[in-house]
Amino acid sequence: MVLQVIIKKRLKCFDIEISFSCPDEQLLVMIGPSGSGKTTILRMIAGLEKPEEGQIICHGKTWFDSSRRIDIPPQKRRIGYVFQDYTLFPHLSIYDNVAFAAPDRKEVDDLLDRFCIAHLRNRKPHLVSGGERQRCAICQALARRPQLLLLDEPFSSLDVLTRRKLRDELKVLKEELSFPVCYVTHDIHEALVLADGMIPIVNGRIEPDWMQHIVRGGQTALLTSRTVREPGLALAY
Amino acid sequence: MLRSSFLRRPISSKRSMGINKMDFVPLYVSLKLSMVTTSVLMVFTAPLAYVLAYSRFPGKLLIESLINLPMVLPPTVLGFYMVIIMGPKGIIGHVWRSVTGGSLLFTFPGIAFAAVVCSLPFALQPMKAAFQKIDRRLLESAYVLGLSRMETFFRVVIPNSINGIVAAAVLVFLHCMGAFGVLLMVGGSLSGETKVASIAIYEAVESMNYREAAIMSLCLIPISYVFLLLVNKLNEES
Repeated sequence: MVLQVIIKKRLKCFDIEISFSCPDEQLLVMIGPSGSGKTTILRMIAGLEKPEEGQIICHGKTWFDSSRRIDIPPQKRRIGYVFQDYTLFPHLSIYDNVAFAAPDRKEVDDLLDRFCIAHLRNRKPHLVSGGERQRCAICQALARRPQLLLLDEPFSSLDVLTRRKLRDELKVLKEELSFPVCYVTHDIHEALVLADGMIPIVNGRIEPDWMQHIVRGGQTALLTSRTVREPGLALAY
Repeated sequence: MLRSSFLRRPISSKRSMGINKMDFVPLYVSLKLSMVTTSVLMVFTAPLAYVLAYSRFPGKLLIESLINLPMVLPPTVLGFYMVIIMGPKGIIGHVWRSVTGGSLLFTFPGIAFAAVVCSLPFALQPMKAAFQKIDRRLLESAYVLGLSRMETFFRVVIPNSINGIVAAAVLVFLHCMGAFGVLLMVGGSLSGETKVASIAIYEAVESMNYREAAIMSLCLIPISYVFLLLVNKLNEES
């Protein structure tokens, strides 16, 4: 497994205690209700928050190990992180945002073309649409040549049509990526379209029953049909 | 010195509101002091404001309150302590003497040091507020993109708080232009060295020379007004 995560962290309302792994070229979806600790888990993988106990290993490198007191800072973890809301640098153009941490400027042009935002290269982020901003955020994350891509509800602030369009684009992109992707969402449809593996998280723990509860509640017939149709869509925990 | 002697030259026209033999050197000293203080504070306050805006450490509140103390202390109290620490037996005065061999009191570097201490809160507050306004996720975004804290400061924090930094510079400049009590205690009134515009106005009034006081005061009003306009415009924009 390329990414191995075993973490414990005490929060105000509940404790996060989780362990999972993700193989290469796989998109792992962390799904669960809002406020269940999904974003905190992602932030701990990125190094933006520190677990109290555990181990995070990516591509054989230990990023965090509480027993050996290893805690690699986020700057050295080589991750791409797309946040929930737009976190592009407002003082930079779309091009400069993507090129911000890119080792190769030529790749920036390729990425802008690939995500159809090359014509916006000189515009500031506040002058482009929400969908275009998130495309730019994904380009920015990929331009760093990450070893792991973390997506924290990247389309949640977009309208339904744009969200669907970007979700489909991400599905195509996923096939081209050679590293694991962790995707956080509370949208079951989004999860089903994108996931190679899924972990349902409730109050900081993996909760397999939560999925069954959703299905039984009739909130999505799609889940049952897809699970039956594609039994390979295994839960990743 | 050339500029100083040029400014010393009396204005000879007798029709110019009776400003013959008017000495504009104090105005020049004020402007020089304001520029020096502003430059020094912009360089040193920015990292300090960054640390205070984003870090948590024991005693932070105590340090911040101490830095802001000049804002609320009477100038005479502040001036008294400045005289003590800048005097030959004071820590700053002693260090200065061992480096330069001279006294810090009654010199331009002395009043510049006093102005820096007095104006520090005026630089710190707007800068810290501007830094705190920046979305923390922008900093996190920079970190995950591989930027160190220092690089993030220069490439993300500074460009996104430029209005606050300019507002801080303007406030410091204006505060120095109007400084009086502390400068008088620390520097006295040595023409061309420590006699600033506000002291010159005070002395002119004391010697019943109201014309000179009026002209000097009139010179300060447009400068202050234009700078205040700039501060308000920046505040409105941000």
